[in-house]
Amino acid sequence: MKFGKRLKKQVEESLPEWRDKFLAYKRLKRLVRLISGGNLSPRRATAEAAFVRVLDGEVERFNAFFLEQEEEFVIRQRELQEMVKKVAAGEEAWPSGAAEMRRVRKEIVDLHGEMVLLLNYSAINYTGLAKILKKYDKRTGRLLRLPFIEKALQQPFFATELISRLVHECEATMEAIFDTEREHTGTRMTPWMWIGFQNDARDAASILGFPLHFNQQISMAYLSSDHVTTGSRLGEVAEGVSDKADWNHEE
Amino acid sequence: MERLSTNRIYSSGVPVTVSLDESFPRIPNAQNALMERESRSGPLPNLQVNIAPICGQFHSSTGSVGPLCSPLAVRFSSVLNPEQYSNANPYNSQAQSTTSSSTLNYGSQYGGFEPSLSDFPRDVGPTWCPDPVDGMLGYSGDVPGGNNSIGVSEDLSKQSEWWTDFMNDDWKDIVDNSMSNENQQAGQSVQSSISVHQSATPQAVASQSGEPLAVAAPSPSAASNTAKARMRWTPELHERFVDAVNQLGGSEKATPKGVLKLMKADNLTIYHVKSHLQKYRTARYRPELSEGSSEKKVSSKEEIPSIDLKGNFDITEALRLQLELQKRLHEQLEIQRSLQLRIEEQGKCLQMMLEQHSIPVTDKVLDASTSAEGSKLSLDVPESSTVKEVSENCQNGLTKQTESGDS
Repeated sequence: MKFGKRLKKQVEESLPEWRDKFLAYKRLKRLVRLISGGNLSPRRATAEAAFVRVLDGEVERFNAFFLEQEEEFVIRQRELQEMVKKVAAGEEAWPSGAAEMRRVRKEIVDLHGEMVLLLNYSAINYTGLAKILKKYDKRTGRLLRLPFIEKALQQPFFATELISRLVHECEATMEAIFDTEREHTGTRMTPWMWIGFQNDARDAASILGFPLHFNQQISMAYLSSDHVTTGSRLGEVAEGVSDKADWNHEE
Repeated sequence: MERLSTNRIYSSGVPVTVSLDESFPRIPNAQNALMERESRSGPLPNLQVNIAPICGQFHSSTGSVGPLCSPLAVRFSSVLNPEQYSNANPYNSQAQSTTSSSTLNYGSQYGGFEPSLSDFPRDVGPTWCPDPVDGMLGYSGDVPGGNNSIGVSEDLSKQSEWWTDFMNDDWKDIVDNSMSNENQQAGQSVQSSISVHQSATPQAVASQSGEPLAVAAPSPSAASNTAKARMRWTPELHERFVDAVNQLGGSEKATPKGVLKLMKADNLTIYHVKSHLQKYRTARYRPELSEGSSEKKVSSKEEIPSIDLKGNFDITEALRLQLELQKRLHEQLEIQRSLQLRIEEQGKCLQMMLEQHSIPVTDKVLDASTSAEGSKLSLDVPESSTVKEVSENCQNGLTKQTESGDS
């Protein structure tokens, strides 16, 4: 799947507030085309300056959005942990205890999901930047890519360590809270079945009784990440890198 | 080709049994292709390698930049005046700067991260306002006229029409989108922000200590902007915030001023506290709302503990599965990220190596060197100690990054 298409799909599936926060990839592509088309010096310089300006603006936007979301997640995470403590300790009489438990679980899954989506947001925008810069360099013969990407790597929107940490904390909290009750299950459903089910019933909310409002996007992000770049240079590099780097450390 | 390495990671990390084979009920066609792919590539999806194919082109940011660089730093209105290029030329000297100090340089390099795009009306960068559009449209309209020295050709005027159209569509869109964003975010620090950001490492360090880290370097022409610099709220900082709020009697009673005083944190302005307090209140208010209503809803559902759907699973199971999916996505993203970082590292290493041997770093050269395992260098690079050293350093750097990045 071409990147432009993939990005478009992600944007479509994302939460409404997020839709205009992604990279303006198409616009930038058009700019690049314009640049390489016009060969007259002032025209070209104009377009190139504009290109850089747009890029800067985009990074600015990413940072703004990312930091805002991050702040919100920090707040919500803490509130959730308070709630979890209450529910775990409270052990109120059935049914309200169970209701609380249910709500807390749902909240946790929601928060976790949104955080992961933010990470995905960061990743896809970074990728888009890298790609458009490569196109630019190719068309213009300039050397914009490397320095720009280096700076991008340091931008807040790409410094996702904090969010990652929050996600891990969330997962840890979840282990605790999901294991407290022994739930009976029918046929075990696997995640792939779950995706299939979601795609069938667009509105899982109506069946489950409450909205998991971004389950679509999570599935989307997950599935779209599964494209294999066999035969491409990138695939080779990935192989090479993963061979050299000692993955065994993971164990 | 099987990516064994990644499978190893997954098998150790994900506590989920994915049994594809018989346990699948009939699933609609849309999923079949998915399933096939799944079964072909093993129990778990392949490593997402959707990173831009950037391996092929590693460009040098040093050396042969020369006259190319000036347009990059050019101010918009100065395009027509070649003399003004000189003021915008920190590029060459900056190119060698280390990453940690580079953010400021970056700002001056590209003139985009600074709030003072002086020649250009308050810009499409940090603040989106209608003026730049007009300015640009006006400008682009002027260009053909202003090019008298070069000679106005038919070709040029066609291009300028095309350009004007482009500007009309795209810049207006950009402005419109950002305007609506800006309106929604009124009063937040987004509006006049900024410019230069500090690099990630100092942030990570400071965040551990709970000190507020403003994500902005003071820029000379924007004294007011430092007041609205973007703040990075860490859990530690937030904890201090909550303590202060509780001391003042709760989120409703606490005032931004009071909280600010109690927190005694540098770099924290009242705007930061105000907006954060607002968010905090919202976050606490909504759960209280839904608490009341959802209890009623849920209690009626207690009679139907499991909903009879495909395979007869209940709500908790659904949540659990959703969670699993999210976890996996998270893992993939982490791997992707560390891979991206490593690719950049490798590019830099290669660059170093090639430069050490005074090999002009061009696209062709880099393309050739980054092919496959890197052992097939089509250049005649003599095996000298320096090369080995450099590549060893790179390897160490890469390995270290693996260890730290994938924990």
